[in-house]
Amino acid sequence: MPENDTLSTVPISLDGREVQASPGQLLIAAAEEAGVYIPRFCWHPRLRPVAMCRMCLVEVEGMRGLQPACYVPVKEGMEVRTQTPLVKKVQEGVLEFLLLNHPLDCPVCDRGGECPLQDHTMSFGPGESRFVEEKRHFEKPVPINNLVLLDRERCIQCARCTRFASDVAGDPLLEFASRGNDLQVTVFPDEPFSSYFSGNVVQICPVGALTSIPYRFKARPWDVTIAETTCGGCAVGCRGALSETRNRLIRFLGVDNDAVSWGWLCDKGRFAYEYVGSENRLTVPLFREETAAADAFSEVSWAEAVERIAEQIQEVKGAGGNIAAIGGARLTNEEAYSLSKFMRVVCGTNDVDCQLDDGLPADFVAGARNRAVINDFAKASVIVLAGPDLKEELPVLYLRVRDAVVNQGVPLFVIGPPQSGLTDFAKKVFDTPAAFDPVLLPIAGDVVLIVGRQSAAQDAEAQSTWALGLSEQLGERVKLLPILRRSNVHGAIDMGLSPSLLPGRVTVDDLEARERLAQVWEGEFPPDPGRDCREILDAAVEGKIDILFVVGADPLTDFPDPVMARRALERTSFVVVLDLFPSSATRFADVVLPAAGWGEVSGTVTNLEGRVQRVAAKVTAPGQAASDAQVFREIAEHLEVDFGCGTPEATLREIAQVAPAYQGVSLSRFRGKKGKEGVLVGEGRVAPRTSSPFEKDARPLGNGFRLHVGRAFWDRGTLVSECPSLSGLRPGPIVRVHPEDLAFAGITDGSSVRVLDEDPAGRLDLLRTVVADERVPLGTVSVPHNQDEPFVIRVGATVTLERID
Amino acid sequence: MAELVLTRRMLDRPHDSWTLDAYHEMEGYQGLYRAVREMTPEQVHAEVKASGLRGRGGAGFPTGTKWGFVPKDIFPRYLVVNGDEGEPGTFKDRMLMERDPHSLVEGILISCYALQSEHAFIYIRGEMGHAYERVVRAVEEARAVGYVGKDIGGTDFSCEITVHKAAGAYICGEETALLSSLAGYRGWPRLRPPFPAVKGLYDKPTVVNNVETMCNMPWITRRGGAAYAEMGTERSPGTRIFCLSGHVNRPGNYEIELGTTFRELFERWGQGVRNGGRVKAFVPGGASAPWFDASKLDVPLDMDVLGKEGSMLGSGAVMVMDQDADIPRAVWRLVKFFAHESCGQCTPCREGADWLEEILERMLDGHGRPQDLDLLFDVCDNISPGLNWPPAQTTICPLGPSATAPVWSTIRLFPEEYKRLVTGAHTSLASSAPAGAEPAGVTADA
Ligand SMILES: Cc1cc2nc3c(=O)[nH]c(=O)nc-3n(C[C@H](O)[C@H](O)[C@H](O)COP(=O)(O)O)c2cc1C
Ligand code: SF4
Ligand code: SF4
Ligand code: SF4
Repeated sequence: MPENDTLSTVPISLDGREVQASPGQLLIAAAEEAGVYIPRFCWHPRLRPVAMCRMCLVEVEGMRGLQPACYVPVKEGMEVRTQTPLVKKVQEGVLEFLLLNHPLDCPVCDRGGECPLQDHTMSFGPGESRFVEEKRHFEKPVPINNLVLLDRERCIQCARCTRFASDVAGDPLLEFASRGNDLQVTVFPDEPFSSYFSGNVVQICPVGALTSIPYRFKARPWDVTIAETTCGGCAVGCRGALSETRNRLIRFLGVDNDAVSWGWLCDKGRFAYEYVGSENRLTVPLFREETAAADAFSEVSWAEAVERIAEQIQEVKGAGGNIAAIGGARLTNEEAYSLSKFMRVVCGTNDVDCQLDDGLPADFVAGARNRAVINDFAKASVIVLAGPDLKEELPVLYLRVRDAVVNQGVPLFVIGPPQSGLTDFAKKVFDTPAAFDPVLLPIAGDVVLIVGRQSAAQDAEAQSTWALGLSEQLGERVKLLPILRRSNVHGAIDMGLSPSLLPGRVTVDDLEARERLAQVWEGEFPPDPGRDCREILDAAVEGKIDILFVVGADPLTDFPDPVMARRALERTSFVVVLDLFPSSATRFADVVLPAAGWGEVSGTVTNLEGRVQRVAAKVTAPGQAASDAQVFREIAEHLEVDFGCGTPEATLREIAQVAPAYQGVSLSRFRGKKGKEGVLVGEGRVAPRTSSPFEKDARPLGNGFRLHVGRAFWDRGTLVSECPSLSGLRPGPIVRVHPEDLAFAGITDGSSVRVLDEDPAGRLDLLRTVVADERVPLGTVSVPHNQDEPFVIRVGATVTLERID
Repeated sequence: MAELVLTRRMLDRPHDSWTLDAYHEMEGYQGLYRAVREMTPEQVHAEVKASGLRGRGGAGFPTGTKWGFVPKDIFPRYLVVNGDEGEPGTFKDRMLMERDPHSLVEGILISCYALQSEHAFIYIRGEMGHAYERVVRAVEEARAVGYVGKDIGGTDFSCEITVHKAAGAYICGEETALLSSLAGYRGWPRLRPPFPAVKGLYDKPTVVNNVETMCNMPWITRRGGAAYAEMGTERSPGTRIFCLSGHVNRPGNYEIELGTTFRELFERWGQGVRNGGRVKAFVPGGASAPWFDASKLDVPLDMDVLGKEGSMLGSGAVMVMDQDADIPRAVWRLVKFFAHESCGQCTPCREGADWLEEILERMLDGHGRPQDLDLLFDVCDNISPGLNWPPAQTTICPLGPSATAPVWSTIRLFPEEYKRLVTGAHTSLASSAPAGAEPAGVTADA
């Protein structure tokens, strides 16, 4: 639903009292803003009104009969009565009707204690039941997918879930069947409610008819404590409320804010809290024994770990060696800032990179001018989307684009591989940026340009220079939104976890910024850009990196060349891994430090719009796991550097002081109604890079297919694999190919194929099951990333498909 | 008696009235040619207005006025003809479609011309296979000779007709549910506004009219609206087909002039009550209408008068019950129908209609409780506050209130029949109807 236009209001009479309301706003919302709560079940502020439950009937002067307040828009001078005897009688009547067939099994219902039906019955309901007949019976509960159960006896037929599925998620797989008293919510035969957003229907169901399997019977509302926070699942930064009981996270619910998520969460974000309590968490610092064989680690104390790392740093620095860090996208802004500061002032290097050569150039991301925010989508004259499949990678961003396109009618151009759920609504789809002709754009109005890395095999430089070229061509009309995927990667870049950037969206050679930093940071660091992730790993392969910090990242799965990443780690004399879980990188570590993560560390994060939002600590980290910030500070202090940054609050104050784009960001700005929307950071001073026309993609040669490597929503990442409820959901090792291409190649859907790089130097050689998918462009082989063993991805790669019998 | 507008052809040519040849021999398609060749669309519309014709689907809304609600400059616009006829006791549209399908086709073409619509849809109840075949055939015949299709009658007026066979739900007769169903969606009534005239089929301006309403159009264009308005009463002009059923000697479809009394309908056309009995109660206008007792026999068949008397002419279904009728059982049967046919969208209708059915069933099974009468009233009141006619409603469409009308109207008229069910003295009513409780009924005229 669009934002309320609060600029112009008109007077209406509400129960005899004059109040101000926006014309066109629904009465039910206007009354609520004026402090009058009109009871309702089917109305939801983010769903199309249907006026089915009939609970919100009111009297409006001059309109015949009772009017549903959820459907009637405000008009100037309207006289509304919400408390008349007739209204009250009808409310009681509707509640009585709803309770006739309701099983009243509240004591064993997850919703008990926080159920609108219970609450309304207390406030508006009849005293006792006059119903002596037999209630409706259904088999209960029935699973509608792997995460959600349906109890049709509790259902009050409000159509919130069905509207969410079809109108919001675009997965119209929940429907009503039958009619009258038999009316029931159902999935189609043999077709579960397969949606990445299925948990939302549990949250918006006004009764306990839909419950989530992970939360089922876990707690009662009065046993839990709750804190508002921001999801760390991806860079969208959805708001949510995190519940804890006995130091365990048990539930994450969406919280409505207007700017970002509207209360929605994707299923990964919603249920991934399970990984926080996983038994596989790292809990003690580990050191590799010098003489022992691989994988032989011994536990050490934090003090010893800090001391030994500090000694190494001192030694390497003394000998003029190289220290580098990769990763950091998992961290809060405050932790990322601490890492950034640590690398500069303690290690004296700019060799830091929070991206693993799988995103976009950091200066393009941090330097974008005239940025779009999500709320610009619905107001744009057109949206041009040149990025990864949003539904798979940035799910709630997909919902917002979908709303703008499908519900608000904003035209959409898609450039690149198809967007599930959006391509069907696009005005036109282009295979490559080179094929897109700006002449097609409307001649006036804002153009929102969303730019991301479409495929790990795509040239990110070319993609960003193309985007800048298009922006230059269109001038002021363009609002650019560069999007990266991983958790707080945008915040990490803003904190200077990039070889060419310092905190606050400035370049490392920015004199003003360096001067200001010099007042706070004691320690020297070079004025030239350092090595990026690929260069760091390259140098490491050559034995030129002496200490490598790997912070919440796994180059062996996420870097496009896992073979090289492995060799790099093997050849680095001292590898320090800070993480939540053992990973393929920890196998090559010399020190493994247990980190505290989401739900355990408080602070701020920055989403892909550049919106700073708070994250809360709700449980204590397991064992001796500690915040990354604390680790870096302790090492620094061991080396007698006055590091500061003792608490997240102090760190944020320092960020606001030294990081130009973060000036004025302070905790007080997150309070109140406005604070719910977070704080947008300002523009930095990164000089726009030069644009260049997009070079024609290497078209497939001979029998070759263009390689596309995209992320799938469910993968092997810890967010999924460490959650018992989610780990079974990934599609597995498949490749997707257009059915016509398959037919031409004589390969049948579902058979095994070998995917081989055409370039003999390419080293890509995969065995996979092939799935025919007509959404994949002709001439393309699409391989979802991180489904099983990692493989080598060459930019611009073309591959052959071979049938294996 | 006025001349027959709707049933003359089927009475004159019982063996082939549905063929194009027969229809041609009885002034067939002359109204269409007159309209498209000699009149402007506005003139045709003006004639329909002048006729005073009111819709025959149930609500009795003046057709010419309804057509005027279509926004002037939005195209395309559609005409949708409601042939879903599902109201219990109503069986006139089926007869018209089976026996006089060409008058329907001609009426549609004339109406489309007046509305400047180039596409009409006929939505025919799924169970009416025979009617469907006859209408499809009539459209084909008409297309073959150029009445349907491009450049009709050598003019630049073109019109397509699509015949759609429905899937069998009473609620799809409600016009907005019908439009949803026709477009391939679930047959649920929609909230208004927007009204179909502004945003109907495929979100385009749409007029929905009943089959019988359409069948009047050839006559009105041939003879003029004024001639039509001379028949019937001032506010209910013309003739209408009444579907007479129940305890009369000769049930059937009768086209009679509006303004005739119920007594005349029962005596002259129905040939009196069976076995020389008396009228105890009757349903004046379809299952949705509040019932009357014999004191209303001299009420004229006039939409406005009936409205003032607290009921309606509705779909034209008149059901007669004699002194032996078990009123609560008959009411229970109707309520059961509505409960079964509720679309289930609104809480009061979905839950309430079913509850009413269950309470009545329990009472009929001998388990009535003293509080049940108040309960029945109150449940009705929560669906249709005030229990008046035309009804107030807590629901989206009028089906919910329809389910209550038989209940509260008969509890008011025949309280003793219900009281007997709550005192536990209930046996079989057929043999124990208290004489003298009802006013005198009509007797068969010899
Ligand atoms: C529950 C319900 C069922 C209805 N069923 C029919 C029907 O079967 N046929 C019909 O013509 N109108 C039916 N109507 C009336 C239509 O909604 C609509 O008013 C009518 O088709 C308009 O045509 P008219 O103006 O020519 O009468 C029904 C209305 C309701 C509320
Ligand atoms: S399952 Fe819940 S959300 Fe869905 S219709 Fe029933 S009560 Fe409403
Ligand atoms: S879209 Fe991203 S931020 Fe939002 S809930 Fe999903 S994973 Fe979390
Ligand atoms: S009143 Fe009954 S039939 Fe009409 S919309 Fe509501 S539930 Fe459906």
